[in-house]
Order: sequence, then C-alpha cells, then structure tokens
Amino acid sequence: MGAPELDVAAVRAMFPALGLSVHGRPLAYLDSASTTQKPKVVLDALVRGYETACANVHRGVHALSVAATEGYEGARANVARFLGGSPDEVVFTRGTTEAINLVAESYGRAHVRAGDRVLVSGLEHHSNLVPWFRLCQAVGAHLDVLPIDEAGALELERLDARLTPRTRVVAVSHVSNALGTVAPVAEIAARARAAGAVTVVDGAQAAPHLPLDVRKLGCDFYAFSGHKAYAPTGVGALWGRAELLDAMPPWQGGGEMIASVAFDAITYADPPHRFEAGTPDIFGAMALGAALEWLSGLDRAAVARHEAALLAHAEGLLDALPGVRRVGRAPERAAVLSFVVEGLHPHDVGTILDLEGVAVRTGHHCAEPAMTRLGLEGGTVRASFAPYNTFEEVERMVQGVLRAQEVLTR
Amino acid sequence: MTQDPPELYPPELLEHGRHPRNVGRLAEPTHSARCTNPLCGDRITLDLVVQDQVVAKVGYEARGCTVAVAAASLLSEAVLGRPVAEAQALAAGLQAAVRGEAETPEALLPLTAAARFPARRRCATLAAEALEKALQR
Repeated sequence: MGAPELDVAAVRAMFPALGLSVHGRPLAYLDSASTTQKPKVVLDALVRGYETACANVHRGVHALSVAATEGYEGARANVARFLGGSPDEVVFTRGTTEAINLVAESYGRAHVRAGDRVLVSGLEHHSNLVPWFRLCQAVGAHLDVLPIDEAGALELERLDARLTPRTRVVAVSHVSNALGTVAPVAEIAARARAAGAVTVVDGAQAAPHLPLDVRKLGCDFYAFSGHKAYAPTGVGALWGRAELLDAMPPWQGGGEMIASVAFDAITYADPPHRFEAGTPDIFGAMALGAALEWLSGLDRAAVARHEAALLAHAEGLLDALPGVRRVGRAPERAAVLSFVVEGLHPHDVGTILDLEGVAVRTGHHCAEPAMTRLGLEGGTVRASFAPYNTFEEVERMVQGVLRAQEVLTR
Repeated sequence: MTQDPPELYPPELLEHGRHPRNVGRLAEPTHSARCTNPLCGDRITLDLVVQDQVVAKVGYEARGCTVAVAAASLLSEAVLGRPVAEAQALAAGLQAAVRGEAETPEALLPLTAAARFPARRRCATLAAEALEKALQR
C-alpha cells in the first residue's frame, strides 16, 4: 500500500470560490502563486474576530480588548510554530514586501555603509530586489548578483566569489515565484554566515509548499505573506533572529511601538512590538493564524505529493505539444510551471485561457531580471498549483493552450 | 474542430498582429516617445516626421502582445498622411472608446472589443498614448 492520497474533493469543498463560473465555464484556478483561494474556516475566523472581539489590542482594560489582544498574540504564536521560531521573533507586517522593506530600512540602514555590498540572487522577485537597490543607492553600497543558469538554477559555484569581506546582506528567495526553483537556502545561509553576512529569505512562495524551520535553515530573517498561504491579503510576517531584532532601531514611529514617550526622550518597546507602529491588522492576523493551523492540519506530505503529481502531469502534456517550451528546469522545483508558446505572446495565451475558465498568470511575474536573463522579453505563462487543483483542470489548461494556438495562428 | 476566434481577436486584428505595418524606427524623427506597460512588459517606441502640420512619416518598435502590436499597426496606418490634429483626435478617440465613453474611430474598429476586456485595455491604447506623448513635445 502506498501513502494515503490527498482527498482533493474534500479540500475543494472547503473553498467557496472554487464553485465560481467565469465566462460561463467552471473556474480552474491555476494562479495560487499570485494568491491562494481562501478556505471557509479562514473567512469564518476573519468575520468571527470582527463579530466577537472587535477592539484594539494592547490598550484597553475591557473584555473585548483583552479578547482581541489574546487572539492577536495567539496568532503570533501560530506563526512562530509554523516557522519554527519563537513568538517574540515574529513581527506582523502587511506581507513579504513590507517585511523585507523593514529589514532593509532598519537592519540595513544600521549595518550597511558606503562601500559595503549586498548580494541578491538573479531569481529575485522585485520585492527582494528593489528595497536592496534603494538601500544601496541611499548609503553608497554596491549591489551584487548571484546569477542563474539557463535552467533557472542559482550558480552556487559563484557564491563564494561574491561573498566578499564587505558583503553585509544576502537576499534570496526560498522558492522562485517565476520559475519554481527551490534555492538551497541552508547552504547559502551557512556560507553567508561564514563570510560575515546575514541572510534574508523571501519565503512568500515557500510557505504554502515546504515545511519550514528557520533554525534549521540557519537564516537570519524570513519573510512571508499570508495571502499566498490561504490567509487574507494585507497581513504577513517577518521572522528575525532575536539578537538581531533586539539591536535594530524602529523603522516606523507611532503608537504601539513605544515604552515611554516625553518631548525630550522616547524609549522604544522591545521586539516584536517595536516594529509594529500603529493599530495592526488584528483580525487579518487572527485569520492568518487560522490559515496556518488549517494548512498544518492537512497531511503536508500528501499535499506535496499531489502538487508534484499535478506538476508532472502538466509537464508531460505540455512537452507533447509542438511549439510549447517549458521554462525553468532547475533540479528542485515547487508547484510552479512557467512556459512559452512559440509565436504567441503570453498575454494572448492568458486571455484565451481565461475565456476557457482557466486562470493563469502571464508576464514577467515581477521578476524582470530573471526573465531578461532567460531572454523572455514578453515573460511566460505561469500555472501554479495548490492542493485544491485537479488533473482535469491541468488538462483544461493544456486544451486551452491548443485553442490559443488554433485561434491565434490561423 | 475550428471555432470562431474570440471577439477580442477579429481576423483583421490578427492579421495586423502578424504582419504589422510601418514597423521600424525612423532615421530623423521630428517627434518621438516611448511608453511602457509595466504590468506585462509591453513597450512601444514611436517616431513621427511632421511636416506642415501633417504626419509625413510614422515608424515604431513595439514589443508586446497581439493586441498591442496590432493597435500600433492600425494606428500607424490611420495617421499616416493625416493632419496632426486628426491624428491626435484618433488617439484620443481610441482611448475614449476603450474606456467605454465613445464609439471606436472607424479606422480602428478591430480594437473595439478591447473595451470589454479590462485586463487588455492598456494593450489597445499603448500606441495611442505614445502618439499623444510624442506630439506633445
């Protein structure tokens, strides 16, 4: 007997949006790398927060405020468990982008000086590139790039040469949103540490697919977004190593992040609250906690097998189509499939697929340097998978590609 | 099984997309502009030679989808040899049509359906934006 299979029908039944029709066809949602659909249990947690505990956190003595605070801090503990860190190392943010901006603005401004270097990978989403570009420009530091090869894998053999004595930060995606490449983060972090640099990981695509343990990864900061992991948009988290967070200055000022305030002296709160100025997304955070609990409650190994099987099925069918070329063939990949169709622009393919009810992402996926490196000026068509996807949906996508070839090249 | 193409892709648009007219940068343009759509990476650089308030020459380099390329091609044909004011009216008219505020100008009818595809409106108007921008200079 093999390992138990994922009950995909049961998973689908948990997601209200999967019953939608678009353009008169049942929705085949193959764009979870952009944002996942949300299970009912998460939507319920969001509404329940507003209905039963709608008050501000860390302020009131009244019962609702206590309930809100407990729910919010309970969600922080959920995130910590999910990442393998401790709750006081978890800062709630709007998402991955804000988390990385926080590190660049706070840690970066304090530690990266003129003439220092920041190393980013050639795979990065703009969210783990633009903040470092801006930091380097502001302080007079240099931005180095760890290149990718034709397959879309990081050229690790070039890593040591790029880890100079002046390298302060290494920024890398755990999983590439554009190509699905899984980066060997533990190895990169170990080598970065040996060279005296901290490692900042963009975990936006990894969080929904890989079991995470920041201590085993050995990184210093790990950022992810709730909305790509079945939670609402607008909330995410940054994990930072305690001793680093302790020494970091605030990056935004306001309420919630202070210990005491006078006109001539301000004492800031300890982490994580030091980095959470203003009223946070209290109920979004609670829903994020519920989402991570929901995800952790699935048979993660069965989910991974299902996603890998969907990927393999799609790859097999696309490889059999003349004129279709898959992009991103790194040895280790998560549930992301990028491809181009000869003679057709990804945008046009995406529109034809949409008319067939199949939702995919097209374009450069906010990873323009990676697309440029691979000579894909129009970007790619990207299908991405989640436990609620079916083999039939994959087949509908492939039929849609055939249809696009038929109508656009006639 | 051959089905009709979806309404976004009428035959004339597909034909312009495959065989765009007036392609290429001009050697000595009097007006030029570049427009990009960061959403999808579409990019057009448009050159004009205006003589006596008439569009005497037009050329462009377009990188983009079928709709963006066809729109550039159709617009280039429509404005060539026309007075500048007419060219500007065409560009403005197309943008108004795609916003759903006007009828599509006769010469640009194959782009009519773009108004009903919100995600593709900008593809249809990028060349018109470039034309307006070039003529403002």
